[in-house]
Amino acid sequence: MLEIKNLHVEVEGQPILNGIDLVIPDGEVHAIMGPNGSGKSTLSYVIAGKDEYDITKGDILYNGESILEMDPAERVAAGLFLAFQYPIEIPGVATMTFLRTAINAVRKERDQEELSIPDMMKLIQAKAKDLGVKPEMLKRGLNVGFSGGEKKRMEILQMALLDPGMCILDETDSGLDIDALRIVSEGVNALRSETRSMLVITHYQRLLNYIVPDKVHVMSDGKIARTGGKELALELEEAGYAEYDDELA
Amino acid sequence: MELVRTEAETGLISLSEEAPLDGPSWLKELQETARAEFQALGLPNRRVEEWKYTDLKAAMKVAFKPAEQGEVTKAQLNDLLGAELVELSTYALVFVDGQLNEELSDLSLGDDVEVLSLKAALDGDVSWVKPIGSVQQNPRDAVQALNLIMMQGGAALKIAERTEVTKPIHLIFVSSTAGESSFASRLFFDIGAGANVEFIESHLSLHGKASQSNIVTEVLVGDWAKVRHVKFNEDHNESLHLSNVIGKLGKGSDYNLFQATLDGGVTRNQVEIRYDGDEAKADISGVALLSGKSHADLTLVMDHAGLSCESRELFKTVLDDEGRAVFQGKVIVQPGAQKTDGVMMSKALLLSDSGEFDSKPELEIYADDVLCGHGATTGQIDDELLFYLKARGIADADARALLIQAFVGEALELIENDTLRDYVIGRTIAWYEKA
Repeated sequence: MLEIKNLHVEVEGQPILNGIDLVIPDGEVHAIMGPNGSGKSTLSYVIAGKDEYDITKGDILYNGESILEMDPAERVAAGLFLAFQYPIEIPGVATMTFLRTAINAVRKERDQEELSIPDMMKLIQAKAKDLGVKPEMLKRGLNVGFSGGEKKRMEILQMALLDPGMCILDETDSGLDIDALRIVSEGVNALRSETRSMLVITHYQRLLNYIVPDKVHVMSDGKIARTGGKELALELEEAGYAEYDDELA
Repeated sequence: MELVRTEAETGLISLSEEAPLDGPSWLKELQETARAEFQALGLPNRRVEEWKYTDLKAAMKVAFKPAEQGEVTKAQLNDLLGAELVELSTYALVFVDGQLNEELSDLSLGDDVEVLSLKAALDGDVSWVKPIGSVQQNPRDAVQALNLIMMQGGAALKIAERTEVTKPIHLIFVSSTAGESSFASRLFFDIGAGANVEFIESHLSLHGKASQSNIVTEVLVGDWAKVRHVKFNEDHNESLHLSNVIGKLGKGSDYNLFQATLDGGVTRNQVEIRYDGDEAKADISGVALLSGKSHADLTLVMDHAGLSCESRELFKTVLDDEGRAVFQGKVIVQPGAQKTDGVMMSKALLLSDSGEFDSKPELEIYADDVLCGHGATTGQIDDELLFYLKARGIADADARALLIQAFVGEALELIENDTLRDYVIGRTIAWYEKA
């Protein structure tokens, strides 16, 4: 369970988040929607532990413990995972090497035995196949020369391999055509379970046709402005964000 | 003329006066010119353009005494090389304190490869060694001049036309003395047309003492010959290593030199490649990983005289602490050397605030139909890349190591020999795990 309590965040003295309260129980999928600049991506980075943000008030608890003092790698070991809106290209780091390093780092922190190279290869290849990640992609530099859809599939592959309890998907639908959106969504849905929660951040409703949320929150001006069921997403699609966006109103 | 001589210069001048110069007359003439030049000019300092960033006069406090050739056993040698290099199947040419040790070396490389110690090459009436001292063409280069006067050892090697040398030739320089010492060695390679050979060069020290080494390698690459040379240095942090590789490339030849420098005191790797024939290509690349106060300088001159020749240079440097790297790359395209294709790139990654990287690329182009470019970058580890790796559960130190490995990896990929590449990668990983 993820609990965000009265979270206030600033960047270089500018307030971005102004008192977020949010609880995501185990097994639930929540969506956060909102206009550009409402602070959605900032929230995802703060949960993952990026260090350019100043948390001025409030707390984030995961399974009852504050994560604010943990570094990003410790948060991953604890069970948090952020799928990036813009996955980063790292030339010179082979995708397979990167995946092996990440999996064994997390297993070690979780007091699980490190996997042997053959077991690791089997695991990665099987999950890659499910997500339509081609074997050639695993040999290339991480995300180098991948299409938008390939990069997002690689994010979901990493999510599947690191076995998180709490997945945060930041604008996973951006840059995807309809076929890629379907494949990525199927990958995400396959990971839904009673013990795994998800926070899906999106600007558009269409992703939520594929990944159907239990709850939808509207974020505006660094706060949760409204919470409802999945029907709230359809309402926003009709009416737009004008009600929540000073500049559009 | 410099009136004030440093202690090192005074020492070197007296050593050069003691040098017997008792070789063949064709060499003696060159040596006497070199001696006069050195005595007039002394050690190069920062006011000499080519030595602006590596002030040898300031760096060389004293001239260490030339070493007597010491004893090294096969077991000691294998210990120094380590299991990975011992297992690499090679022909070994072992130079103890700069002189060829015939017992430790493989001198029978087949009918098509002739190996002579420098002394045998100069004392005997061997006509093919006569280019020694003349492949180098700049008498005003003090380091090359000193080497020519003081060279007390080395080897000459002739590879017959169209010979495929089946195993790499491993040039192993071992310094055996228990105290500080110096040596000057010269290598001469005459590589016949269409021949194919791979060299590995390593530098080791039996007692882990600082040394001053001056090695000049003159290479004649025949038409359509293919040469690969990987040079690896991991010297004592008070050592002075001066290396010159001077090559002349025949038509259609293919020459690669990769130099890896890990720490050490002051290292100068100077390379001069002259493209005499048409359609020749050369790749002069390398990595330098420098911590403490290590200083490494790569100075290149790629002189294109032939038509349609290609040059590639990729130089990657990682600097920690007060490490300092210098890259000076000059591409010359002579009048008439049309269709020259030259790409030069040097990149530095700074791990500390006090590292320094000086990069001076130069293009001198006297032909109009050429494609030449150069680039240089200096940067730190990218925070966005680092965060991405950490957000996948990789701890900070491991994430940094992975990014350093990725940075140098682009250059290390150019080492074609798999075993050797793995060895060099292993040494670089050990370096940044320590950093």
